[in-house]
Amino acid sequence: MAAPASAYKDRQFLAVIGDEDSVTGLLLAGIGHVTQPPDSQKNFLVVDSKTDNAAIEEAFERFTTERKDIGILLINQHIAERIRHRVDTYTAAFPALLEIPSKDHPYDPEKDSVLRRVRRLFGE
Amino acid sequence: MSIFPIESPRIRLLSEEIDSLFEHYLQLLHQYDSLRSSLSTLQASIQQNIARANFDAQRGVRYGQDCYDQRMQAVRRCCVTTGPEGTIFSVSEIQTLRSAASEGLREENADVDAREKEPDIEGEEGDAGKATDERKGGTKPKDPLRMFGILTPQALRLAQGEAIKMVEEIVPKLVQVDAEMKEVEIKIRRARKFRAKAEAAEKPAVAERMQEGVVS
Repeated sequence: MAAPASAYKDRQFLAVIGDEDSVTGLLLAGIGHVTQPPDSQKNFLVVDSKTDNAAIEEAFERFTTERKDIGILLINQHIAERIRHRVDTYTAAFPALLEIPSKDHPYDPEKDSVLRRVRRLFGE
Repeated sequence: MSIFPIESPRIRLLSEEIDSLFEHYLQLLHQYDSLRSSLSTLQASIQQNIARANFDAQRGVRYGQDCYDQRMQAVRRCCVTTGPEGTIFSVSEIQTLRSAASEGLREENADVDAREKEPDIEGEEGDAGKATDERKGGTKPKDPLRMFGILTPQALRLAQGEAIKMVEEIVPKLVQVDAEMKEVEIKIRRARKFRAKAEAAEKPAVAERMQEGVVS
């Protein structure tokens, strides 16, 4: 069933939660956006070894639930792994969620939520 | 495969429907897999180019979050539409979006002019309006590469080209295939449920028929 137009019509930005190089690459493509002050909300979060899981979860919540202008959320697979319970229970159609590989963590099909869904469907 | 030796036409139809859904699902899975490998290759190349740019940079310079513009504006935005074929995601440069919009406006204005066929003052005003639109559409958005300086290394420019390709071509397709897969999954589960119900309803009748066969 198609979602109502109000659910997606204003979703014009891509958001990213990733390590510094992944975010830099995506910002080079021109997806980075900072809203007007005083809010100055960014549509990206740079995660390093010091970033705690609560901050990642908060950003995930902000991009998926609070902000209505995000159409696609990109997240590094190894970061998604840190908040796996949130990522796996996320079922909304918008914003669409996509796990991407990073420099130190290549794509692992075992951790891919889409392939896990496929395995479930085939009864494994 | 059904556990019943004799399938009713309804169960057979449902089984066929499930099979065709699975066929479509596997095609989507193949598409997803090839897009995934393209994404991995591109992402690896982007990371490599950023690493090369950092390696070649002057001492102390790192192309990372210290260089980010705190007032950056998105140059590439996504557009979500839904139609009979499902949800469609696309990412394109804002200038392209603007020029497409102004082109549409221009065509609209041209239609109005053709209908009126009166080259009067109003028409001139319309032309002036069009020129303003063109000027608006023509404002070039700031190149994101500029936040890393004026003289950026070749490797960073290469990384940008690949990142654009990834964002415009691979990411929207991947997201779209994923959405379509979710829809097909729902259909498969529904069809399986209907088939299970039909089989449960058929069970007593089949048992009776089998018993009759044994007796005779």
